[in-house]
Amino acid sequence: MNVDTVLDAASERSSVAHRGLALTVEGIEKRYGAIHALKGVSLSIEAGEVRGLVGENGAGKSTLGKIVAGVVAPDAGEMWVDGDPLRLRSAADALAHGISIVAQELAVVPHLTVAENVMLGREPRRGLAVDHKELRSRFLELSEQVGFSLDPGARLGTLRKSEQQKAEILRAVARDARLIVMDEPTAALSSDEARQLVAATRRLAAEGRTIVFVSHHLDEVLAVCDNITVLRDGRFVRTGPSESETADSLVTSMLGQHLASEYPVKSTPSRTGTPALKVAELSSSTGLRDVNFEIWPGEVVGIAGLVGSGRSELARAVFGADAHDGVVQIDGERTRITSVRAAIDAGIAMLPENRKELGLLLERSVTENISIPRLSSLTRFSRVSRSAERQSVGAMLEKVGVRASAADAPVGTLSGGNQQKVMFAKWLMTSPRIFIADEPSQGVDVGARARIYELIAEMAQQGMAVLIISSELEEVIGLAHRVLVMRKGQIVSELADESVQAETILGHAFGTAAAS
Amino acid sequence: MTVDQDRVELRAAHQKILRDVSPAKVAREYAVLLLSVLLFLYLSFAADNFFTAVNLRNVASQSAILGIMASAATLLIVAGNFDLSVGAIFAASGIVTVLVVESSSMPVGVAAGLLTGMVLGLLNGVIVTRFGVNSFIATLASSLVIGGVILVITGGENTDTTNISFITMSARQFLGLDLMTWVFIVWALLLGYVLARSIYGRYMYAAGGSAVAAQLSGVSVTGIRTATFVVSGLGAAIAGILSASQSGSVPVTAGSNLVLISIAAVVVGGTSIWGGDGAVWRTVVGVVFLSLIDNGFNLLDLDPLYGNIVYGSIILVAAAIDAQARRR
Repeated sequence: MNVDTVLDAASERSSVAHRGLALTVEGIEKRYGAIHALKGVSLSIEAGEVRGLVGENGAGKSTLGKIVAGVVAPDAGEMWVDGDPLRLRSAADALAHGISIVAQELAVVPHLTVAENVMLGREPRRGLAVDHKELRSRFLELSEQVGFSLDPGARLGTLRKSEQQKAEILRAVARDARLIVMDEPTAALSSDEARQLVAATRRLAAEGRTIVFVSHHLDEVLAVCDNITVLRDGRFVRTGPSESETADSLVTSMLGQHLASEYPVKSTPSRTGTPALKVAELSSSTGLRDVNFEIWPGEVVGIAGLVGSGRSELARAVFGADAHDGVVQIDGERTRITSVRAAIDAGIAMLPENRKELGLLLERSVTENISIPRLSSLTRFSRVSRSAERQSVGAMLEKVGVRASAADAPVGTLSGGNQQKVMFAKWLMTSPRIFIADEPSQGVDVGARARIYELIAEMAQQGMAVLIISSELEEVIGLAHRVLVMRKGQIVSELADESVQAETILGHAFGTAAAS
Repeated sequence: MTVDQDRVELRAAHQKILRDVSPAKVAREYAVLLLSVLLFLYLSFAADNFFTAVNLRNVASQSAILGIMASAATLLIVAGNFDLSVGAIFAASGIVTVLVVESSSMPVGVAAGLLTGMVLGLLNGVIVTRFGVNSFIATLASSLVIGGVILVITGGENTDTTNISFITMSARQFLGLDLMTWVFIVWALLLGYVLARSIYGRYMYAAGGSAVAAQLSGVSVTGIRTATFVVSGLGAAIAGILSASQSGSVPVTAGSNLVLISIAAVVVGGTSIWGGDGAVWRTVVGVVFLSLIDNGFNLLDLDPLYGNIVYGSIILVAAAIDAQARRR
């Protein structure tokens, strides 16, 4: 027996083990209450293909991914896998058929270790007990195969979200999934981690697995996918090979018309007189150390920095959500901000990152969500005046560009873009003088993003001081007059006007640039 | 004109929502109401003595104790907590009232009883919200402590009174209904108003829907939740005092059977056990439904041994419907 036949046999074995599944869906329909999420979508994916699903928020791409993975049951439609009709009853059922999902919302067991999570349900046994040595070695084997380095013994709950996501991907691989749905897998990752994940995805595909890649990030989709399917408003638009697509061509199909995401023209803030907000020697138990900055009315200031550099912590401290030491002056007056209520009353608004967890009451109506920070002004003798409430909420909805008929819908039924606009409406209703927006365009479609950028520019023009925290450098540069770069809980650099450039910001964020 | 257009659009959206609601959701919304009506009609035909003023007054009066406690529990559950100590507070308030009535006068006794309930509720609230103890465990523990103190003070004996004005208080009639029923009606209306119309109600829904989001919207989650514990304690006290007045005697175990049944009445009515969603009128319907079943067992001469089986099954079905309605 020569070497070649051995290798052939090995590769045959592995190709059998990993032969991807071919998938066909036809006429898939799905409704969520008033929302018609999918309107008869049909498509075919070949075995071993990496297929991108793109579309605006609310286009139905995530829903389609979840239906394929058995997480969500379709209202109508057929599904075939390798030519055989298949009706999935649950995610576990899908797994039994070799289909797995890596979801935005992680499904991990925080108290178990990384290795135990990855091998959950697949633990090697010695008698009745789990063979921990074997479990560990299998885990390491898998990590090598996929190209991740994770500490197998760390408790998963103590790790960063991006690492938990990696564990989730390993878990799918550990279960020998032959079709993996990745639903916004890079949403919680830094750009470096996202690159790693894209590389890992290519490796999984090279082994012959079929991958459905759902993402907002068109550059990633273009880099990783063989073919890309565009959905719009719950309908199939078209499928094309990645080589012949560009971000522009995809966006055009997603919107149905040509609309490039453009930043509004910046005004010129005067930066004279009293700053709207002045922060001095701010420190907190959440890791802020001696933070000093000022922001003038009419100015948009961006806060850049790596994940974990203290950007959100700074916003939370100024907003009174975390306890802090230091001096805060608003319009030149020293103000004690001991609670969120005190911050709101002092004219500060904060739109938190992660609107689903921190920002919105998903099951309550749009109206209730918007009115809550200023509810006391709509109340007489503790009775909420519904007509006054409806009126002011209506005005705000119009301002941010959400249709009035959505006022009574539970906010969770709206698309991501509209949810974010509702968040803006909610905080504009408090007539703030200082508006802090943490990741203002996170998980938002292109159309809503443009409207949000316009809003931010308008707010500044009307004399509000706007503080923008964003992981997207382009956004910070496109919107801000001035950028504060944070690293390890401190502001390490301040760049204004012409010196606001990507390389400079990154240099300071990573600590490679000389201190300014 | 634009207002009219909006109204048209709004109506269209409403109709769409009505068309698209899932059956589980409709069941959770209105099933108990429908079942109660059906049970009412059935009993009217099946039992001769059901649809009589005397019996209906009886049903109302017998629902009062449970209804007062369950209405208060609704606010607490909507805001995201449970209170397992209401049974112990029920007994404690009754005992304090009886002791003070004996040594002083009736009004002072009733005031002392109400105050006892509110103070104990406040303690629960502080323990849960300030120290972050899970409400289930915290109130389970406090109910043991309160029960223990009661045993020490009473030595395990019933606490009795012969004060005539006190023992006739709960049965006093106004406009054809007794005081028990009136207190239930007024209390349910008051709490219903607070939850549905007042700013505090909104804050309760917010705290139960998402405590972090509520906090970051300027809602004092600890404050509003503490307030719901005080309401819960007050509800238990009112019920305990009325019950003491009814029998003139408070056993040390008084109220213990009401704890879980009052939570059950809330769930059967269609309020979510997960918090953030529900209404007092739902709880009232749930209470009436459970009381009608009790009454039916009596009038139709069914073996009360089967009562718990029926109760338990109904609660299971209600909880299952709640879980299904929540699944997206």
